[in-house]
Amino acid sequence: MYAIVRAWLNGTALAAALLAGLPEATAGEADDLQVMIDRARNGVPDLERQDDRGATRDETAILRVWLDEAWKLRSEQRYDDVRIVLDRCEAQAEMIRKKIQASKVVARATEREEDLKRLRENIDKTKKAIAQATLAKAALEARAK
Amino acid sequence: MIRPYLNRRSLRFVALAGLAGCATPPKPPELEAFERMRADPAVQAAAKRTPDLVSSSDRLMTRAREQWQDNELSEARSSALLGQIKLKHALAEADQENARQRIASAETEIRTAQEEYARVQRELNAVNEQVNLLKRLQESTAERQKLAQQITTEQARAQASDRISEAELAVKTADTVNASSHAREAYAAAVDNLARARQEMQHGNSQAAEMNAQMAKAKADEATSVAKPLYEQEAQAAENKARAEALARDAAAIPGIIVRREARGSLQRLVIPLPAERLFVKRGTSVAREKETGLDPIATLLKKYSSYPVQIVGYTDNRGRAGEQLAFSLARAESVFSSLALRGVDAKRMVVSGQGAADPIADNRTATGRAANNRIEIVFLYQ
Repeated sequence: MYAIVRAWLNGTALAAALLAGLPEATAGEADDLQVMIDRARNGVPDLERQDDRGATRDETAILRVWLDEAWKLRSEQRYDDVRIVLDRCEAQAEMIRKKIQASKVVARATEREEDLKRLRENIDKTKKAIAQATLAKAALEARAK
Repeated sequence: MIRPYLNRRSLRFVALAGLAGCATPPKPPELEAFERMRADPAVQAAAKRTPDLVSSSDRLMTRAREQWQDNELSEARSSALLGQIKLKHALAEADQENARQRIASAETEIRTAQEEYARVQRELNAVNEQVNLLKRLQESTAERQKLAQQITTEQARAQASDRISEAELAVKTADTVNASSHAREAYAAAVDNLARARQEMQHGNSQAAEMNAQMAKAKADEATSVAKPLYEQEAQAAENKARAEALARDAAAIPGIIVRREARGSLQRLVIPLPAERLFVKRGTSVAREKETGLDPIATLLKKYSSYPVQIVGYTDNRGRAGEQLAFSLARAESVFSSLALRGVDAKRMVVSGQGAADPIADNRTATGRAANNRIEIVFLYQ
Protein backbone atom coordinates (compact mmCIF):
# COMPACT_ATOMS: atom_id res chain seq x y z
CA MET A 1 0.00 0.00 0.00
CA TYR A 2 2.75 2.35 1.02
CA ALA A 3 4.76 1.48 -2.11
CA ILE A 4 1.83 2.56 -4.23
CA VAL A 5 1.54 5.83 -2.33
CA ARG A 6 5.27 6.45 -2.61
CA ALA A 7 5.27 5.80 -6.39
CA TRP A 8 2.38 8.10 -6.73
CA LEU A 9 4.17 10.78 -4.69
CA ASN A 10 7.32 10.42 -6.79
CA GLY A 11 5.37 10.69 -10.00
CA THR A 12 3.48 13.61 -8.75
CA ALA A 13 6.66 15.36 -7.60
CA LEU A 14 8.26 14.82 -10.98
CA ALA A 15 5.22 16.18 -12.72
CA ALA A 16 5.20 19.10 -10.34
CA ALA A 17 8.85 19.78 -11.11
CA LEU A 18 8.24 19.69 -14.83
CA LEU A 19 5.41 22.09 -14.48
CA ALA A 20 7.25 24.44 -12.15
CA GLY A 21 8.35 26.78 -14.85
CA LEU A 22 4.92 27.29 -16.25
CA PRO A 23 3.08 30.00 -14.33
CA GLU A 24 -0.05 29.25 -16.22
CA ALA A 25 -0.22 25.82 -14.69
CA THR A 26 -0.56 27.08 -11.09
CA ALA A 27 -4.31 26.62 -11.07
CA GLY A 28 -4.10 22.83 -11.16
CA GLU A 29 -0.88 22.72 -9.19
CA ALA A 30 -2.55 23.72 -5.92
CA ASP A 31 -4.95 20.87 -6.23
CA ASP A 32 -2.17 18.44 -7.03
CA LEU A 33 -0.19 19.54 -4.01
CA GLN A 34 -3.27 19.26 -1.82
CA VAL A 35 -3.75 15.72 -2.99
CA MET A 36 -0.08 14.96 -2.27
CA ILE A 37 -0.29 16.46 1.21
CA ASP A 38 -3.51 14.59 1.97
CA ARG A 39 -2.08 11.31 0.85
CA ALA A 40 1.06 11.89 2.85
CA ARG A 41 -1.07 12.70 5.89
CA ASN A 42 -3.18 9.60 5.36
CA GLY A 43 0.03 7.53 5.35
CA VAL A 44 1.04 8.70 8.83
CA PRO A 45 -1.46 6.54 10.81
CA ASP A 46 -0.23 3.55 8.81
CA LEU A 47 3.31 4.29 9.97
CA GLU A 48 2.11 4.66 13.55
CA ARG A 49 0.36 1.31 13.36
CA GLN A 50 3.53 -0.35 12.13
CA ASP A 51 5.54 1.23 14.92
CA ASP A 52 4.20 -1.02 17.65
CA ARG A 53 7.35 -0.44 19.71
CA GLY A 54 7.08 3.36 19.62
CA ALA A 55 10.56 3.70 18.16
CA THR A 56 9.69 6.65 15.88
CA ARG A 57 7.21 8.71 17.87
CA ASP A 58 9.34 11.87 17.70
CA GLU A 59 10.04 11.50 13.99
CA THR A 60 6.37 10.93 13.27
CA ALA A 61 5.46 14.03 15.28
CA ILE A 62 7.95 16.05 13.24
CA LEU A 63 6.50 14.59 10.06
CA ARG A 64 3.07 15.78 11.07
CA VAL A 65 4.47 19.26 11.80
CA TRP A 66 6.10 19.34 8.39
CA LEU A 67 2.95 18.24 6.67
CA ASP A 68 1.09 21.01 8.48
CA GLU A 69 3.82 23.40 7.29
CA ALA A 70 3.38 22.13 3.72
CA TRP A 71 -0.33 22.72 4.01
CA LYS A 72 0.28 26.20 5.27
CA LEU A 73 2.73 26.96 2.45
CA ARG A 74 0.24 25.66 -0.06
CA SER A 75 -2.34 28.00 1.37
CA GLU A 76 0.15 30.79 0.88
CA GLN A 77 0.62 29.56 -2.67
CA ARG A 78 4.33 29.04 -2.10
CA TYR A 79 4.27 25.96 -4.21
CA ASP A 80 8.03 25.59 -4.62
CA ASP A 81 8.44 25.61 -0.86
CA VAL A 82 5.60 23.09 -0.60
CA ARG A 83 7.49 20.75 -2.92
CA ILE A 84 10.67 21.12 -0.89
CA VAL A 85 8.80 20.31 2.33
CA LEU A 86 6.97 17.43 0.68
CA ASP A 87 10.31 16.00 -0.52
CA ARG A 88 11.56 16.20 3.02
CA CYS A 89 8.37 14.58 4.29
CA GLU A 90 8.81 11.75 1.82
CA ALA A 91 12.37 11.21 2.97
CA GLN A 92 11.22 11.40 6.60
CA ALA A 93 8.53 8.81 5.97
CA GLU A 94 11.04 6.59 4.23
CA MET A 95 13.45 7.00 7.12
CA ILE A 96 10.68 6.28 9.63
CA ARG A 97 9.79 3.09 7.79
CA LYS A 98 13.38 1.98 7.79
CA LYS A 99 13.75 2.83 11.45
CA ILE A 100 10.65 0.81 12.28
CA GLN A 101 12.05 -2.12 10.35
CA ALA A 102 15.38 -1.71 12.09
CA SER A 103 13.73 -1.49 15.51
CA LYS A 104 11.90 -4.75 14.80
CA VAL A 105 15.08 -6.45 13.71
CA VAL A 106 16.90 -5.05 16.74
CA ALA A 107 14.11 -6.30 18.97
CA ARG A 108 14.34 -9.69 17.34
CA ALA A 109 18.11 -9.66 17.83
CA THR A 110 17.67 -8.72 21.48
CA GLU A 111 15.08 -11.45 21.85
CA ARG A 112 17.37 -14.08 20.35
CA GLU A 113 20.27 -12.86 22.47
CA GLU A 114 18.00 -13.18 25.50
CA ASP A 115 17.13 -16.69 24.33
CA LEU A 116 20.83 -17.43 24.06
CA LYS A 117 21.46 -15.99 27.50
CA ARG A 118 18.66 -18.10 28.99
CA LEU A 119 19.98 -21.15 27.20
CA ARG A 120 23.45 -20.55 28.61
CA GLU A 121 21.99 -20.04 32.06
CA ASN A 122 20.17 -23.34 31.67
CA ILE A 123 23.41 -24.98 30.59
CA ASP A 124 25.16 -23.57 33.65
CA LYS A 125 22.32 -24.75 35.89
CA THR A 126 22.41 -28.18 34.29
CA LYS A 127 26.18 -28.40 34.75
CA LYS A 128 25.75 -27.49 38.42
CA ALA A 129 23.01 -30.09 38.70
CA ILE A 130 25.37 -32.65 37.12
CA ALA A 131 28.06 -31.73 39.65
CA GLN A 132 25.61 -32.12 42.52
CA ALA A 133 24.23 -35.37 41.16
CA THR A 134 27.76 -36.68 40.71
CA LEU A 135 28.52 -35.84 44.33
CA ALA A 136 25.32 -37.52 45.44
CA LYS A 137 26.20 -40.55 43.36
CA ALA A 138 29.67 -40.72 44.88
CA ALA A 139 28.19 -40.48 48.37
CA LEU A 140 25.71 -43.24 47.59
CA GLU A 141 28.43 -45.44 46.14
CA ALA A 142 30.59 -44.84 49.21
CA ARG A 143 27.67 -45.75 51.45
CA ALA A 144 27.02 -48.87 49.42
CA LYS A 145 30.59 -50.02 50.03
CA MET B 1 18.20 52.26 -9.07
CA ILE B 2 18.16 54.97 -6.36
CA ARG B 3 15.42 57.47 -6.61
CA PRO B 4 16.51 61.16 -6.77
CA TYR B 5 14.43 62.24 -3.78
CA LEU B 6 16.49 60.10 -1.31
CA ASN B 7 18.60 62.24 0.98
CA ARG B 8 22.11 61.55 2.38
CA ARG B 9 20.72 60.02 5.53
CA SER B 10 18.76 57.50 3.53
CA LEU B 11 21.77 56.69 1.49
CA ARG B 12 23.78 55.93 4.66
CA PHE B 13 21.04 53.58 5.88
CA VAL B 14 20.96 51.70 2.61
CA ALA B 15 24.76 51.39 2.66
CA LEU B 16 24.74 49.91 6.21
CA ALA B 17 21.97 47.55 5.25
CA GLY B 18 23.97 46.39 2.28
CA LEU B 19 27.00 45.73 4.46
CA ALA B 20 24.86 43.88 6.92
CA GLY B 21 23.44 41.81 4.08
CA CYS B 22 26.90 40.81 2.93
CA ALA B 23 28.04 39.51 6.41
CA THR B 24 27.79 35.73 7.25
CA PRO B 25 24.56 35.15 9.18
CA PRO B 26 24.40 32.93 12.33
CA LYS B 27 24.56 29.26 11.52
CA PRO B 28 21.06 27.72 11.49
CA PRO B 29 20.54 25.31 14.40
CA GLU B 30 19.43 22.62 11.92
CA LEU B 31 22.84 22.81 10.29
CA GLU B 32 24.63 22.68 13.66
CA ALA B 33 22.61 19.59 14.62
CA PHE B 34 23.39 18.08 11.23
CA GLU B 35 27.13 18.63 11.75
CA ARG B 36 27.00 17.11 15.25
CA MET B 37 25.18 14.12 13.88
CA ARG B 38 27.68 13.71 11.09
CA ALA B 39 30.53 13.73 13.62
CA ASP B 40 29.05 10.73 15.41
CA PRO B 41 31.37 7.72 14.95
CA ALA B 42 28.33 5.57 14.20
CA VAL B 43 27.98 7.42 10.92
CA GLN B 44 31.37 6.08 9.81
CA ALA B 45 30.08 2.57 10.26
CA ALA B 46 26.85 3.46 8.51
CA ALA B 47 28.85 4.87 5.57
CA LYS B 48 30.28 1.43 4.95
CA ARG B 49 26.85 -0.13 4.86
CA THR B 50 25.05 2.59 2.90
CA PRO B 51 27.66 4.76 1.15
CA ASP B 52 25.12 6.26 -1.23
CA LEU B 53 22.97 7.61 1.57
CA VAL B 54 25.91 9.03 3.47
CA SER B 55 27.37 10.57 0.28
CA SER B 56 24.04 12.12 -0.50
CA SER B 57 23.91 13.43 3.06
CA ASP B 58 27.39 14.85 2.72
CA ARG B 59 26.43 16.61 -0.45
CA LEU B 60 23.45 18.09 1.31
CA MET B 61 25.72 19.27 4.10
CA THR B 62 28.00 20.98 1.58
CA ARG B 63 25.02 22.56 -0.04
CA ALA B 64 23.56 23.66 3.29
CA ARG B 65 26.86 25.28 4.24
CA GLU B 66 27.03 27.08 0.92
CA GLN B 67 23.45 28.23 1.26
CA TRP B 68 24.22 29.43 4.77
CA GLN B 69 27.31 31.24 3.51
CA ASP B 70 25.13 32.77 0.80
CA ASN B 71 22.69 33.82 3.43
CA GLU B 72 20.03 31.55 2.03
CA LEU B 73 19.00 30.44 5.48
CA SER B 74 15.70 28.83 4.62
CA GLU B 75 17.31 26.73 1.92
CA ALA B 76 20.18 25.91 4.26
CA ARG B 77 17.74 24.72 6.92
CA SER B 78 15.89 22.57 4.39
CA SER B 79 19.10 21.03 3.12
CA ALA B 80 20.33 20.40 6.65
CA LEU B 81 17.05 18.78 7.62
CA LEU B 82 17.06 16.60 4.52
CA GLY B 83 20.69 15.68 5.19
CA GLN B 84 19.82 14.72 8.76
CA ILE B 85 17.04 12.53 7.45
CA LYS B 86 19.43 10.81 5.08
CA LEU B 87 21.90 10.25 7.89
CA LYS B 88 19.19 8.89 10.15
CA HIS B 89 18.11 6.61 7.36
CA ALA B 90 21.69 5.44 6.94
CA LEU B 91 22.00 4.90 10.68
CA ALA B 92 18.76 2.90 10.70
CA GLU B 93 20.08 0.79 7.84
CA ALA B 94 23.28 0.23 9.78
CA ASP B 95 21.33 -0.60 12.93
CA GLN B 96 19.22 -3.08 11.00
CA GLU B 97 22.26 -4.69 9.44
CA ASN B 98 23.99 -4.79 12.76
CA ALA B 99 20.92 -6.38 14.31
CA ARG B 100 20.77 -8.94 11.51
CA GLN B 101 24.35 -9.85 12.19
CA ARG B 102 23.54 -10.12 15.87
CA ILE B 103 20.63 -12.40 15.02
CA ALA B 104 22.80 -14.55 12.79
CA SER B 105 25.49 -14.72 15.42
CA ALA B 106 22.93 -15.47 18.14
CA GLU B 107 21.29 -18.15 16.01
CA THR B 108 24.65 -19.83 15.44
CA GLU B 109 25.46 -19.67 19.12
CA ILE B 110 21.96 -20.82 20.00
CA ARG B 111 22.40 -23.89 17.83
CA THR B 112 25.72 -24.64 19.45
CA ALA B 113 24.28 -23.95 22.88
CA GLN B 114 21.24 -26.12 22.14
CA GLU B 115 23.52 -28.97 21.21
CA GLU B 116 25.51 -28.44 24.38
CA TYR B 117 22.33 -28.13 26.40
CA ALA B 118 21.03 -31.38 24.92
CA ARG B 119 24.37 -33.03 25.71
CA VAL B 120 24.46 -31.84 29.32
CA GLN B 121 20.79 -32.76 29.71
CA ARG B 122 21.59 -36.26 28.56
CA GLU B 123 24.53 -36.35 30.91
CA LEU B 124 22.39 -35.09 33.78
CA ASN B 125 19.70 -37.63 32.99
CA ALA B 126 22.28 -40.39 32.94
CA VAL B 127 23.75 -39.34 36.29
CA ASN B 128 20.29 -38.87 37.78
CA GLU B 129 19.31 -42.28 36.56
CA GLN B 130 22.38 -43.76 38.18
CA VAL B 131 21.62 -41.87 41.40
CA ASN B 132 18.04 -43.11 41.33
CA LEU B 133 19.21 -46.64 40.71
CA LEU B 134 21.61 -46.40 43.61
CA LYS B 135 18.90 -44.95 45.79
CA ARG B 136 16.49 -47.71 44.84
CA LEU B 137 19.21 -50.26 45.46
CA GLN B 138 19.90 -48.81 48.88
CA GLU B 139 16.21 -48.58 49.66
CA SER B 140 15.83 -52.18 48.63
CA THR B 141 18.81 -53.18 50.77
CA ALA B 142 17.45 -51.20 53.69
CA GLU B 143 14.05 -52.83 53.18
CA ARG B 144 15.64 -56.27 53.16
CA GLN B 145 17.64 -55.44 56.26
CA LYS B 146 14.52 -54.14 57.92
CA LEU B 147 12.67 -57.30 56.97
CA ALA B 148 15.53 -59.43 58.24
CA GLN B 149 15.54 -57.39 61.43
CA GLN B 150 11.81 -57.91 61.76
CA ILE B 151 12.23 -61.63 61.22
CA THR B 152 15.03 -61.71 63.78
CA THR B 153 12.91 -59.73 66.18
CA GLU B 154 9.95 -62.00 65.61
CA GLN B 155 12.15 -65.05 66.06
CA ALA B 156 13.59 -63.60 69.23
CA ARG B 157 10.09 -62.77 70.38
CA ALA B 158 8.86 -66.26 69.59
CA GLN B 159 11.90 -67.74 71.31
CA ALA B 160 11.36 -65.54 74.34
CA SER B 161 7.70 -66.50 74.31
CA ASP B 162 8.69 -70.18 74.26
CA ARG B 163 11.10 -69.63 77.13
CA ILE B 164 8.35 -67.87 79.09
CA SER B 165 5.98 -70.76 78.42
CA GLU B 166 8.63 -73.19 79.59
CA ALA B 167 9.21 -71.11 82.69
CA GLU B 168 5.44 -70.96 83.34
CA LEU B 169 5.28 -74.72 83.01
CA ALA B 170 8.24 -75.11 85.34
CA VAL B 171 6.60 -72.82 87.91
CA LYS B 172 3.36 -74.79 87.61
CA THR B 173 5.32 -77.98 88.08
CA ALA B 174 6.92 -76.42 91.13
CA ASP B 175 3.42 -75.54 92.32
CA THR B 176 2.40 -79.18 92.06
CA VAL B 177 5.11 -80.15 94.56
CA ASN B 178 4.22 -77.21 96.82
CA ALA B 179 7.58 -75.56 96.16
CA SER B 180 6.27 -72.26 97.51
CA SER B 181 6.52 -73.89 100.94
CA HIS B 182 9.30 -76.43 100.54
CA ALA B 183 11.73 -74.26 98.44
CA ARG B 184 10.53 -70.79 99.24
CA GLU B 185 13.54 -68.77 98.06
CA ALA B 186 14.04 -70.56 94.76
CA TYR B 187 10.31 -70.48 94.08
CA ALA B 188 10.04 -66.76 94.87
CA ALA B 189 13.02 -66.06 92.61
CA ALA B 190 11.38 -68.07 89.82
CA VAL B 191 8.08 -66.20 90.15
CA ASP B 192 9.91 -62.88 90.29
CA ASN B 193 11.98 -63.68 87.21
CA LEU B 194 8.90 -64.86 85.36
CA ALA B 195 7.08 -61.60 86.12
CA ARG B 196 10.11 -59.66 84.95
CA ALA B 197 10.26 -61.72 81.77
CA ARG B 198 6.61 -60.96 81.03
CA GLN B 199 7.24 -57.27 81.66
CA GLU B 200 10.26 -57.21 79.34
CA MET B 201 8.20 -59.02 76.74
CA GLN B 202 5.52 -56.35 76.91
CA HIS B 203 8.17 -53.70 76.39
CA GLY B 204 9.48 -55.59 73.38
CA ASN B 205 12.79 -56.54 75.00
CA SER B 206 12.84 -60.09 73.77
CA GLN B 207 16.42 -60.78 74.77
CA ALA B 208 15.93 -59.61 78.33
CA ALA B 209 12.61 -61.45 78.45
CA GLU B 210 14.26 -64.65 77.29
CA MET B 211 17.08 -64.29 79.80
CA ASN B 212 14.66 -63.71 82.67
CA ALA B 213 12.49 -66.59 81.52
CA GLN B 214 15.49 -68.90 81.46
CA MET B 215 16.44 -67.79 84.97
CA ALA B 216 12.84 -68.31 86.07
CA LYS B 217 12.83 -71.82 84.64
CA ALA B 218 16.15 -72.65 86.24
CA LYS B 219 14.92 -71.41 89.61
CA ALA B 220 11.59 -73.19 89.22
CA ASP B 221 13.39 -76.42 88.33
CA GLU B 222 15.64 -75.95 91.30
CA ALA B 223 12.63 -75.33 93.55
CA THR B 224 10.94 -78.42 92.12
CA SER B 225 13.97 -80.61 92.68
CA VAL B 226 14.28 -79.35 96.24
CA ALA B 227 10.59 -79.54 97.00
CA LYS B 228 9.77 -82.78 95.25
CA PRO B 229 11.27 -85.23 97.81
CA LEU B 230 9.80 -83.25 100.64
CA TYR B 231 6.47 -83.11 98.91
CA GLU B 232 6.57 -86.83 98.16
CA GLN B 233 7.44 -87.56 101.74
CA GLU B 234 4.63 -85.38 102.86
CA ALA B 235 2.27 -86.99 100.43
CA GLN B 236 3.44 -90.44 101.38
CA ALA B 237 2.99 -89.62 105.02
CA ALA B 238 -0.47 -88.31 104.36
CA GLU B 239 -1.28 -91.38 102.34
CA ASN B 240 0.14 -93.64 105.01
CA LYS B 241 -1.78 -91.82 107.64
CA ALA B 242 -4.99 -92.09 105.69
CA ARG B 243 -4.40 -95.77 105.07
CA ALA B 244 -3.54 -96.32 108.69
CA GLU B 245 -6.73 -94.53 109.66
CA ALA B 246 -8.66 -96.73 107.32
CA LEU B 247 -6.94 -99.80 108.69
CA ALA B 248 -7.75 -98.73 112.22
CA ARG B 249 -11.36 -98.10 111.28
CA ASP B 250 -11.67 -101.48 109.55
CA ALA B 251 -9.92 -103.27 112.43
CA ALA B 252 -12.12 -101.57 115.00
CA ALA B 253 -15.15 -102.71 113.05
CA ILE B 254 -14.35 -106.41 113.72
CA PRO B 255 -16.75 -107.50 116.50
CA GLY B 256 -15.25 -108.18 119.94
CA ILE B 257 -11.92 -106.62 119.06
CA ILE B 258 -10.43 -103.59 120.76
CA VAL B 259 -7.46 -102.35 118.72
CA ARG B 260 -4.76 -100.12 120.03
CA ARG B 261 -2.18 -97.94 118.30
CA GLU B 262 1.33 -97.59 119.51
CA ALA B 263 4.26 -95.54 118.40
CA ARG B 264 7.83 -96.73 118.73
CA GLY B 265 10.02 -94.01 117.33
CA SER B 266 9.03 -93.39 113.73
CA LEU B 267 7.45 -96.84 113.58
CA GLN B 268 3.68 -97.06 114.10
CA ARG B 269 1.94 -100.17 115.25
CA LEU B 270 -1.69 -101.15 115.04
CA VAL B 271 -2.24 -103.97 117.47
CA ILE B 272 -5.21 -106.34 117.22
CA PRO B 273 -5.26 -108.49 120.36
CA LEU B 274 -7.05 -111.84 119.98
CA PRO B 275 -7.78 -113.57 123.34
CA ALA B 276 -6.52 -117.19 123.29
CA GLU B 277 -9.94 -118.55 124.33
CA ARG B 278 -11.31 -117.17 121.05
CA LEU B 279 -8.99 -119.43 119.04
CA PHE B 280 -7.81 -122.32 121.27
CA VAL B 281 -9.38 -124.92 123.52
CA LYS B 282 -7.92 -124.91 127.03
CA ARG B 283 -4.11 -125.38 126.80
CA GLY B 284 -4.14 -126.39 123.09
CA THR B 285 -1.50 -124.97 120.76
CA SER B 286 -3.44 -125.41 117.55
CA VAL B 287 -6.31 -123.25 116.48
CA ALA B 288 -9.43 -125.20 117.24
CA ARG B 289 -11.29 -126.26 114.13
CA GLU B 290 -14.57 -124.87 115.39
CA LYS B 291 -12.97 -121.54 116.20
CA GLU B 292 -10.98 -121.03 113.02
CA THR B 293 -13.76 -118.84 111.54
CA GLY B 294 -12.75 -116.27 114.12
CA LEU B 295 -9.71 -115.65 111.96
CA ASP B 296 -11.75 -114.91 108.80
CA PRO B 297 -12.22 -111.14 109.41
CA ILE B 298 -8.52 -110.95 110.37
CA ALA B 299 -7.51 -112.68 107.15
CA THR B 300 -9.78 -110.36 105.15
CA LEU B 301 -8.22 -107.34 106.84
CA LEU B 302 -4.70 -108.63 106.20
CA LYS B 303 -5.45 -109.19 102.52
CA LYS B 304 -7.11 -105.78 102.15
CA TYR B 305 -4.05 -104.01 103.53
CA SER B 306 -1.56 -106.27 101.86
CA SER B 307 1.37 -103.82 101.84
CA TYR B 308 1.83 -103.79 105.61
CA PRO B 309 4.26 -106.18 107.23
CA VAL B 310 2.60 -108.04 110.00
CA GLN B 311 3.85 -109.57 113.19
CA ILE B 312 2.00 -112.47 114.79
CA VAL B 313 3.02 -112.47 118.41
CA GLY B 314 2.00 -115.06 121.02
CA TYR B 315 1.67 -114.18 124.79
CA THR B 316 0.91 -116.22 127.95
CA ASP B 317 0.11 -115.47 131.55
CA ASN B 318 2.82 -115.79 134.15
CA ARG B 319 2.15 -119.31 135.21
CA GLY B 320 4.87 -121.91 134.49
CA ARG B 321 8.48 -121.49 133.64
CA ALA B 322 9.65 -118.86 131.24
CA GLY B 323 11.04 -121.32 128.67
CA GLU B 324 7.75 -123.16 128.60
CA GLN B 325 5.86 -119.91 128.31
CA LEU B 326 7.98 -118.83 125.32
CA ALA B 327 7.56 -122.17 123.55
CA PHE B 328 3.88 -122.27 124.28
CA SER B 329 3.31 -118.74 123.00
CA LEU B 330 5.38 -119.37 119.86
CA ALA B 331 3.49 -122.61 119.10
CA ARG B 332 0.18 -120.81 119.30
CA ALA B 333 1.48 -117.91 117.09
CA GLU B 334 2.71 -120.36 114.48
CA SER B 335 -0.67 -122.10 114.50
CA VAL B 336 -2.36 -118.74 113.77
CA PHE B 337 0.23 -118.02 111.09
CA SER B 338 -0.63 -121.32 109.39
CA SER B 339 -4.33 -120.69 109.58
CA LEU B 340 -3.96 -117.22 108.09
CA ALA B 341 -1.66 -118.52 105.37
CA LEU B 342 -4.28 -121.15 104.62
CA ARG B 343 -6.77 -118.26 104.19
CA GLY B 344 -4.69 -116.70 101.49
CA VAL B 345 -2.55 -114.28 103.42
CA ASP B 346 0.95 -113.95 101.94
CA ALA B 347 3.24 -115.85 104.33
CA LYS B 348 6.24 -113.76 103.40
CA ARG B 349 4.85 -110.62 104.96
CA MET B 350 4.12 -112.34 108.28
CA VAL B 351 6.67 -112.69 111.05
CA VAL B 352 5.93 -115.04 113.94
CA SER B 353 7.25 -114.72 117.47
CA GLY B 354 6.46 -115.92 120.99
CA GLN B 355 6.91 -113.49 123.84
CA GLY B 356 5.81 -115.70 126.76
CA ALA B 357 4.56 -113.72 129.72
CA ALA B 358 6.15 -110.44 128.60
CA ASP B 359 4.11 -107.32 128.19
CA PRO B 360 1.01 -108.36 130.17
CA ILE B 361 -2.05 -106.25 129.40
CA ALA B 362 -3.93 -107.35 132.58
CA ASP B 363 -3.38 -108.45 136.14
CA ASN B 364 -2.11 -112.09 136.31
CA ARG B 365 -3.39 -112.47 139.87
CA THR B 366 -6.96 -112.76 138.67
CA ALA B 367 -8.40 -115.38 136.37
CA THR B 368 -9.85 -112.66 134.09
CA GLY B 369 -6.47 -110.97 133.92
CA ARG B 370 -4.70 -114.18 133.08
CA ALA B 371 -7.28 -114.98 130.40
CA ALA B 372 -6.60 -111.58 128.86
CA ASN B 373 -2.84 -112.04 128.97
CA ASN B 374 -3.11 -115.39 127.16
CA ARG B 375 -3.47 -113.87 123.72
CA ILE B 376 -2.30 -113.62 120.09
CA GLU B 377 -1.54 -110.13 118.83
CA ILE B 378 -1.74 -109.30 115.09
CA VAL B 379 0.49 -106.28 114.73
CA PHE B 380 0.41 -104.08 111.58
CA LEU B 381 3.66 -102.15 111.20
CA TYR B 382 3.86 -98.85 109.31
CA GLN B 383 5.74 -95.54 109.21
